[in-house]
Amino acid sequence: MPRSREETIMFEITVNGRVVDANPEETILSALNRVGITVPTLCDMRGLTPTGACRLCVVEIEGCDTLAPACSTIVQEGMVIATHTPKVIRARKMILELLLSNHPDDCTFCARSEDCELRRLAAEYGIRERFFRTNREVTPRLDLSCPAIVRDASKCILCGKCVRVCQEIQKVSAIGFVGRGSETEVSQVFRNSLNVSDCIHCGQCILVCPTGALTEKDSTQPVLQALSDPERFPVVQFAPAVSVTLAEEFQLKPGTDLSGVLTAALRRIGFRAVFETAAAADLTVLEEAQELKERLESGTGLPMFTSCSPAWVRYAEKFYPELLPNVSTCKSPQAMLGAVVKSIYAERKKLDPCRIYSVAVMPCTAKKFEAERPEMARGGLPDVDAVLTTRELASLLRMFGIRLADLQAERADAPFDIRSTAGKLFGGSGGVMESTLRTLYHMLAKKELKTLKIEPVRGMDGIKEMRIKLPGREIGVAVINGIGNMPDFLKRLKLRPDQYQFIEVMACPGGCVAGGGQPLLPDLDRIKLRMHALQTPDQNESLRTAHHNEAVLELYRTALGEVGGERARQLLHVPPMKQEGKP
Amino acid sequence: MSRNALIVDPELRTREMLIPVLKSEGFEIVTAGTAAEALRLINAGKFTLVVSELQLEADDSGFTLAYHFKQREPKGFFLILTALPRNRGIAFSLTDPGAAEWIHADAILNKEARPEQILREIRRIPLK
Repeated sequence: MPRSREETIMFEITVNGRVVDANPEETILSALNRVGITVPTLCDMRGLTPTGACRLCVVEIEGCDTLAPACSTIVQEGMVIATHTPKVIRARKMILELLLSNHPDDCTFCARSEDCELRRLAAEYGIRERFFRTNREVTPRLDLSCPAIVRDASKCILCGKCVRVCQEIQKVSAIGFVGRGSETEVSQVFRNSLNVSDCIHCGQCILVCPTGALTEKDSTQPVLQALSDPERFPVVQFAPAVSVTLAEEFQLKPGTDLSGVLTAALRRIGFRAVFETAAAADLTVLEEAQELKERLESGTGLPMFTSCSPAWVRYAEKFYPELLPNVSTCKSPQAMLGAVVKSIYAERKKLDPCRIYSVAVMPCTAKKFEAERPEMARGGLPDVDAVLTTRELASLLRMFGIRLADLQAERADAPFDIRSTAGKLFGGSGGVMESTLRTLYHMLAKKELKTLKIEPVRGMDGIKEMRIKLPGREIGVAVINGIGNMPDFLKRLKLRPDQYQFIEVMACPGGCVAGGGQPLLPDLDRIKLRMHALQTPDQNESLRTAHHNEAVLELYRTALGEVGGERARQLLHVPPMKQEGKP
Repeated sequence: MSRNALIVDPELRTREMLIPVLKSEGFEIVTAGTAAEALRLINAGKFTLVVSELQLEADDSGFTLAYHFKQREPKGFFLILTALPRNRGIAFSLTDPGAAEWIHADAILNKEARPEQILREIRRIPLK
């Protein structure tokens, strides 16, 4: 990228005896990273205000008495910096020993034992025994109350990354620092549990946590049990955003789409049927387009918000309950698929729906919460019984000794075997919008959009807006990419309420490809590769719209009736949303 | 016929928070603050549902109580609602086949469960 303006005002500093260019007003760490010099850090987050919390990035600066944290010290012209002197290394080792002084040492049993950053650094600095023995008992303090996220306060090193993600990126502020000095901890308001806090279960905090303090609630145990129970009929669905990230868990090229291979792998470990959630997304598109069409015709309940991001739905319930009547009543693709499997599929296979154990592999921690919602069940029978994240799926595949490279791609099971490329797009920000507009246009005009690709709603911008011409009218649409953009967008909406008719919201920045259940520590480049993988089929395949998906259309013809009709409403929609605690 | 529920928890706050949730499902409610009192009530009355903390007089009192309850009411529903993971860092799960063998409870939830989570469990009790 050209940075000509910056280059003209760059100055020189010396690092480890080598002359290096630096920009005024950047931190020492940023200058070091640019030239490939690494210093360890546990609290640095690119793009966010530095806090200097962990102190591991300390460096020696000539003329300074004390060591300075590279992440929060601004470079100055002519600075002479040393990053790895014996003094610096001794200090870092001491910092790590202090961090470990009250850290549990049951690493074998920790969910992050493989990829804990604290453990990696401790090994790197040759720490092989507990140097400081504190009087404080190191016992786990587990918060298991939430169906999506588990917090173990004893493993927290107070780096503050989770707090910054929650406050600065997601702008939810469910967690924060509570207490002072040695009593400081990350907690919820009134030290309540996560379960009754303002947490929306997006799981972005898990992605950045350097230790095992934050993890998803483990669902692999009940899934394993169902797989070994001859009385149960285990079935599984996997989301489009899972098929493009699983490769990273197995050190394959990021952005590889493993749909077919994953289908084969899931059959190998004992699932009796494997479905693609992307196919159910086509069902969602038809229902959602129909709902929007009805709302546009009647002029009520506009603008309509999408409902497939469960963290967004929770956010609306917690912070903007007045918006709930505007949220689409469509269930998410996960729940739609679950509902169809325990009804239509069960009838066709002559199975008792109670015997079916329905597993969903999702890029998302909030889906675990969604699956437990009373609305996502019929007659006490939940649509989906267990939700696994991409990370849990990877551990399950390893447990079964599956080698993805040895498997041939297989096709998913009917009726969720065929998906359009629109259904695949669901996994990234703008995807639900693009797919729904394609079908809405076709519903109204009885012909296809001239260009199916709707460029303005793609990409990583926080708020994407456009106007689109439909027969007889023009509508305004917006895509909210990351829940942190919601407060700003709602100000716009308040000023010009008639300007918007349809709004897509994804709680995680980037959409499901960057969900809280995805491989840890993603960077922007990786998220773009994942997004690209979702969009590739849309360039190469011919079935690009939900309303041409034969499998879905057959489902309507033989079992569901009309789009938006009675049976479809009963299975695929929730009752209109109400404010919690109000009749 | 009315259905009876027994709430066992040392904290008054927890007991009182549970009352409206169970009442909404049509239960008549009796409360106890200790395992000893709960045991006396179980032996004297007929309960469809017991909601109990694990940590009462001892850390595992709830398990003993569940055992005695099931001896007397094999079809009764025993729900453990506990703060043990938070206080002791120990967690029990009925999805673990080993644990399901010796824990005589029908469901385990953590303290600060939302009312809908409690309702989800107790709605599994068949209405007679």
